[in-house]
Amino acid sequence: MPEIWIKALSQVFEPNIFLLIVAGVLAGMVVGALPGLTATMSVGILVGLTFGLQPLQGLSMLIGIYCGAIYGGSISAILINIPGTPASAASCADGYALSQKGQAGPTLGLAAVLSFIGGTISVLILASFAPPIARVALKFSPVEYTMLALFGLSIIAYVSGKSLVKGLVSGLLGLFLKCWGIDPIYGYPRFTFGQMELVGGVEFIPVMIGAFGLTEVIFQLKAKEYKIGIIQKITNVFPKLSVLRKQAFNIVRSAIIGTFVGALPGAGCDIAAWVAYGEAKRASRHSDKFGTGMVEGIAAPTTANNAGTGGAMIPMLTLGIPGDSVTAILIGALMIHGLRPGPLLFRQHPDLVYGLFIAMFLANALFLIFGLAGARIFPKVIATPKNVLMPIIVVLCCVGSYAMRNSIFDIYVMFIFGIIGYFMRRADFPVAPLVLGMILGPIAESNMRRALLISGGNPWVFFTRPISATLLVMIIIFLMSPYLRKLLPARR
Amino acid sequence: MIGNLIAAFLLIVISTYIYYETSTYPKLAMAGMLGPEVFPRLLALMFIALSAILIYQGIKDRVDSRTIRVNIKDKGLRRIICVLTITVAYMLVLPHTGFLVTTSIYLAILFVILGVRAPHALPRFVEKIPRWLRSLLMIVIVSLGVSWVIYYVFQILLKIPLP
Repeated sequence: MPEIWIKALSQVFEPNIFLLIVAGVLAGMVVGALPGLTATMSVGILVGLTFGLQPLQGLSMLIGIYCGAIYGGSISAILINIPGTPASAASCADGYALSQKGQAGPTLGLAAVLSFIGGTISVLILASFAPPIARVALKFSPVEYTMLALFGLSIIAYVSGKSLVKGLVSGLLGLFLKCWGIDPIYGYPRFTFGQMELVGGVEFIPVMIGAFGLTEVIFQLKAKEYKIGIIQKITNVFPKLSVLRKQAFNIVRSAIIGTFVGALPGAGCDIAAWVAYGEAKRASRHSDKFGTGMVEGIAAPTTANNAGTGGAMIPMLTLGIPGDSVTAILIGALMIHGLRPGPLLFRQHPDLVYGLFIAMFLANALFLIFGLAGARIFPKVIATPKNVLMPIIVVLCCVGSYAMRNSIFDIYVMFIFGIIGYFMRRADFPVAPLVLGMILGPIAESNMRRALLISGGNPWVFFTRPISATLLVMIIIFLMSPYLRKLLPARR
Repeated sequence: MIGNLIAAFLLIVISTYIYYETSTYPKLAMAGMLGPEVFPRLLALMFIALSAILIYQGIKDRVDSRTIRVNIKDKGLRRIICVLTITVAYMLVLPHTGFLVTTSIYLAILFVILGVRAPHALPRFVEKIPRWLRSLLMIVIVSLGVSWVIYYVFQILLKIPLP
């Protein structure tokens, strides 16, 4: 349907939205390049800015921050060997080695171009696959949604930590938190502890800001100030065409891997980058030289981590299930405007959905331009001292949690979850499942109860409907996989 | 791992509480439907099962358990406690004194505690001012500036109310 694209195009290129995307991309690049400030954190503390905007305006800006930050993370990985965001951890080894060889400029340029290519391929995949997936998902009944939410939760638990059990505990705690407040079917208040504020339940945004923003600040306060060595002059940022041609296959493969991994619920750009790095290493004839400054070793993760952005948007837009923690925040931001992501969004607000596709493409193009033009400024940005940044972030955490519903109570919630998040991470409990569980909890509970309402209390519907049964089998395989792996004979 | 055992203990406490609270709920559900108590109870059951696994793993890995030593003299820990205490004070005072004033003071105090120093490479005429005064000036300017920018962007530009 070309007319919807034209309508969406004209919307996005309205000066307001265009400027917001520019601001978002710039903010994202800066925050992403600063070590210790992750993409999730930056989208989280800046989500407050979008409460007063139209849905498309706000979401476009957040997507700008998201894409900019994932790219920005590669900058500090290349220049100082510290990943700016977890998504660029895989870019450190070869990126820094290349810049040590005096190739800082060309490597930065390559990272910008490849992030753009990866991001753009993923947007194309998103725009062509999301609408058909949404059409299929339109036929889902509460039975399928219940299973889908549980399926998402089990993958999230599986990918986000070292231990599946700890991931599950964290995810289920997220489900439990969302039980607080008014019960979705009968309206009975649960777990309010006699507090008026808790009748409305614990909101997702303050918990998320606390667990990702404040927790990170506490960790940074504990760590020593990082030393930044002398950074060489950045020259020759435009990568050579011959390099791109030689890497073409690697790039396309990494982009497809990145999009696919990003589309798995809970597996974000960081895992996408590692998988692509591993694949490039396996396929390379010089896999032993990886880590010493191989172009393949920087091309794969920088392409894949930005490809993860488009991938993560697929389950978020089509099913309402977050692809990673940033898209979880995007779901939260949409819900503030009374919009629920999922197949109905494609039917009821197609202009918004297609507008987001275009905004995302635009964000990729913009960071390419800024990245190539502003390469000389990056070393100065990275040198911003941490002790100036951290207090400012705490203030932004407070402002962001307050702004959602003008409640001081939400600032306390943010603070408490900042501290809980710290202790969870200290004990190796991943925080992401908790936050994603808060998004999935209401989907799981209300759909499960609705499904049983329709079936007259017969739980067999979960086993007899084909899609639901398939998902159930996959959940069981996922949860058993650590044990199954032990049973299989060891390879090699 | 001692962390596992603590977590398992907390989970058991939470599950017990879930059972206790849900048992006080009125019977709203009609035949064949789930009341408000069912979903939390399912979660409680899963928490119990998971805490059993955590305890099992915790005991099994005991050999390589590292003792968590809390060192009060640790600089990082002292910094954290200091910053968090001041943040609590900030959150409590914020609704009464207004955003601009409170935030400026809060930022300035934290900058001093975290030891923000003026950078070295500055224009010549600034270099003549002694370093401590330069740092002080910078702290005042940055904390006022940042509070004002946040205030301007939220309250004036985007019309989002601040505390």
